[in-house]
Amino acid sequence: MPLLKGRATVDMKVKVKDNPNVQDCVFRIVLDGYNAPVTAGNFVDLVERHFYDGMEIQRADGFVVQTGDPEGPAEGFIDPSTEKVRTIPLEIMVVGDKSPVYGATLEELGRYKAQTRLPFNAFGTMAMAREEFENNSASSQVFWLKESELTPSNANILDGRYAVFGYVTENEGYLADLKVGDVVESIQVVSGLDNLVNPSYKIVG
Amino acid sequence: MAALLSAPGRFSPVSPFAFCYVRKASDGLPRRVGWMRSLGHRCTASCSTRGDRGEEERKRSFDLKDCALTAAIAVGLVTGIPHLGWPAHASPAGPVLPGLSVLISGPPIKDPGVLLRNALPINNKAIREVQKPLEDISESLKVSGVKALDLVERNVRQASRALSQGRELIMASVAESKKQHGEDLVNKLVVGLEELGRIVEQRDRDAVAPKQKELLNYVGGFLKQLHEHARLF
Repeated sequence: MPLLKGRATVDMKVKVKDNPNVQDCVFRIVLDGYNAPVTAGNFVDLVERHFYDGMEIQRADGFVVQTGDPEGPAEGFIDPSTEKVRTIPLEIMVVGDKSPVYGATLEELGRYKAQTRLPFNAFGTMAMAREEFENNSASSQVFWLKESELTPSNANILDGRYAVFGYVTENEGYLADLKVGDVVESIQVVSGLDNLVNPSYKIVG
Repeated sequence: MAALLSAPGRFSPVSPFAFCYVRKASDGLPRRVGWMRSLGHRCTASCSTRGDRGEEERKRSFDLKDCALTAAIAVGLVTGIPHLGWPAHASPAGPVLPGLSVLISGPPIKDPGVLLRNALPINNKAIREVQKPLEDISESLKVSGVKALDLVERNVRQASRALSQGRELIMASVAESKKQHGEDLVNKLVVGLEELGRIVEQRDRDAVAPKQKELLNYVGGFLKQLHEHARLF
């Protein structure tokens, strides 16, 4: 299983359609493998496979922008070596813990007050989409949070339920301009590729 | 293309917030506004005029109770205020509502750069003492008028003091091989802070932000040096 041991930075180039003000936008995203090694590793591995190149934005509302569902009946990445969808476990790193929690939401574990190391606070927080009731069903679909609704405890209702693994650090404001049908032209790793261990993209399927 | 895997918010297209909050209208009657996501749309937009007293009041009180109940459940779910374990004696040893300490915290951090810096697996408190006042400069700059620069001056002094007092501790967690680079960055920070102090003295408000960014980049670079000592999985 690919792991990102450290941080990596990627540039995501998106072609915006039918907008006189914006045509192309490049988002710089920092992926955090210190707190989400499995999740970030899976993503970087897919980026190196050019999995997202040419993919459309599939959901864009006031809440999130989402992509990652490939063409065809599968809803995730089909690993050529197993011919099955490759999924990753839910991975949440809690402040004060030595390693991430896997496979359960913080709520399921009764850790209601636990704070996550990677909270959903920023506009442009990046996380894995998954089936609502299947914690370990995440595969290739990813989303960026737009509006961050915070409760009085300064937490977002998504914290501890969905795996955050990075933040958009440049041009995050343009996420507001993306709509369904805009195309992710490419995602490229700018730095940190050497932090990826056990890559699967080099194995010829 | 197959159906999308759900991101959160599958239930409704609106962003979720789990409160039903009550707003006093201009005539003094509370009006329920807002809605509960996870418990369905039970508290919807409010009752209106004083017209039909009897029926209205009964209906309103029922709805209010309903609303209060669902609000209490939702708040309990979201914040997890413990209702067990309250001290039985008259003078509690700790805070009366232990969960309440989570509710009262500083303004939420929304800047991705700050979030990423804070998420680095580094325990070096000393460098954080320098990082914090530098980041506070952004908040200080938001204040209008001359007061802003006074606040920035205070931030700069805090950062300088933390840096000079904590220098040994700061350098202590740098690996031998990186010591030179670490020293360079700390020196750049010292010089930079002096320069920032001069900028503030000259009341050059526009030059503050770029300098602050430069200094935070040094801090970030320094923090990256420390990661050699961080847990590797």
